[in-house]
Amino acid sequence: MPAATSGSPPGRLESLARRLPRPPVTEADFTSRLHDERLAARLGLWLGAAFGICFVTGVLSSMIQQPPGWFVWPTRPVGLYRWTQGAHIVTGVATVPLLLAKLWTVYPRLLTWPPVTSVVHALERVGVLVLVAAAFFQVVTGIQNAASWYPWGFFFPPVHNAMAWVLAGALLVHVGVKLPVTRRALRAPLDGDDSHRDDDRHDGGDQDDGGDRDDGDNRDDGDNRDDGDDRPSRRAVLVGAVAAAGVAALAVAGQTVPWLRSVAVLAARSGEGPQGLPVNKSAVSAGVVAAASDPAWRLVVAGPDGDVVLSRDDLLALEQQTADLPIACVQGWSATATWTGPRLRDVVALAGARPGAADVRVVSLQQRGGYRASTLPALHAGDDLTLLALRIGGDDLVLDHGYPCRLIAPSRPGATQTKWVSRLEVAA
Amino acid sequence: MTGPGDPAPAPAPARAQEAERRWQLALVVGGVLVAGVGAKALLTDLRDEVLDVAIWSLAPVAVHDALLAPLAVAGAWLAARVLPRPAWPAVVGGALASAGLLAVGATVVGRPGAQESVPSLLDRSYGTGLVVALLVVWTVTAALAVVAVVRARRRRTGTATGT
Repeated sequence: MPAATSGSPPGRLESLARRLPRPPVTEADFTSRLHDERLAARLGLWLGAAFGICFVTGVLSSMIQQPPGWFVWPTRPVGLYRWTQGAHIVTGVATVPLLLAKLWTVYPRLLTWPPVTSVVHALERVGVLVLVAAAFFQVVTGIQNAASWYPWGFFFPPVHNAMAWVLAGALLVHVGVKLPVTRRALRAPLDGDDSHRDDDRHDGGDQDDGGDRDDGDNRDDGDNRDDGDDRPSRRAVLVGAVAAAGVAALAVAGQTVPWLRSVAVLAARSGEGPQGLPVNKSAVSAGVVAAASDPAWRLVVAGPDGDVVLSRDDLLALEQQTADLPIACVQGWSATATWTGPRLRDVVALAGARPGAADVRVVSLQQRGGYRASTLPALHAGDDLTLLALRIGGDDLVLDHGYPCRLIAPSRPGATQTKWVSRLEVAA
Repeated sequence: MTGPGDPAPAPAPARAQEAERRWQLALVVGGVLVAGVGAKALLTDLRDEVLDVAIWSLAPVAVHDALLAPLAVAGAWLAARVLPRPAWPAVVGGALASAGLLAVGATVVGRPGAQESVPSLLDRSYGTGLVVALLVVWTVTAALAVVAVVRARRRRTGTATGT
């Protein structure tokens, strides 16, 4: 783009822009060879890949919770959601150093002078603002959400989802706009000479080979750096940024990967909790303590044959199945436990439902909140491992894990593994 | 390859350039459509949240562009005058790792999201963990920086003596 306008007389917009007061520091004052399109393009690839993983796993998580008609999420492997959502959070955290490195590399472009040179240039800059703002929004609020910290007024999931599409779109536009520059940058050796750094500048390239060079070393030596050249290596900075992303990821990855728990010093959960399992929503905060501990509690199963009412003893009298299944929270933590209880399909069969033929709505004793009920897809409802769990590790569930009974199904977000179940409704 | 004065990338054959333009157009149009999915949701179902979203999108940009980035630039300028050049990449990596740790640490140190009835949430010693992590990062950074400086000196000596 800009190359074409180089040398042509300034347009009206550029003339106007030039009349603005010139800031004390502009792009021309940045002389480090690290502010370079070759480093920016490679950091962009890493960052783009990380955002790509976040987008795909995030959209999947959103669709699992509000499935469109055509969408089917498999029940095997049982830890599938645990890994997709774990990857979402760990990768999201890893974007912090990559995003900062990328912005630092291109920071001089923010101070380019004049600030706009044409309508297309102005649009491009607005596009970059949308891209950067959406990226910051997703990363900042995402990390806050993973730590259960909600300093904002909105309900997080739909907003995070909408902004994911904005970010993905702005990223595609950015890739499109920068395609020629990126291709050129990626073809050039990362640590080659600095000659084409400022191609798309308008105010002269004389600042190019600034004070960063070693005296007397002007050879274009590509990647061959064994000749006493000690200019800061772009490759080393790229490796440093990727390693920094790895460090950030390692600080939280233990939430998903059990053997990394000891080094997950910033993970919102250690993995410990009552009965060896963390809790997200407590019985107290859900307001269900009295109703859930009441011996008069009954489960109502609404099926084709009408309502069937079951006590906890009735559920214990059904064939019991034991399964090792993970609880995998949308916030990224997960933990596996051994659950025991009747299969959900056996319970709904008591009300005349054909196993696996229809979705099952699972309703909690909880009176309020977006997660008081969930819809279990037919595939999960008919699964051999989907339980109405009564026990965990051989003991009765504690209240915070959903006593008298809770849903536990393979490959499913924790928020939809409804606790304190009071009602099952088989879709007609 | 391009020389120092060349304004444009190496001239590609016209057909390749045409193909590249088509890709650019497809990416830009596709990107606008994809972003439109999010924009539509924000302007319909989520329109009550738009102001909050704008604040939480633009405030981090302002803080970064006007405060953090100038501080990083000043820090880099200072470090560049104090540290030998071969040490720079290690220090940049250490600073980026620290930034990542501090960004996550800010959401857990002090347990702003703690809930009284959920003791298993935010149940680690985050202050200690953050300090230890930063110490480890800067120990490794210092070691890598020293190795880089020593290797650069050896290399220069080797070049000077013609080996």
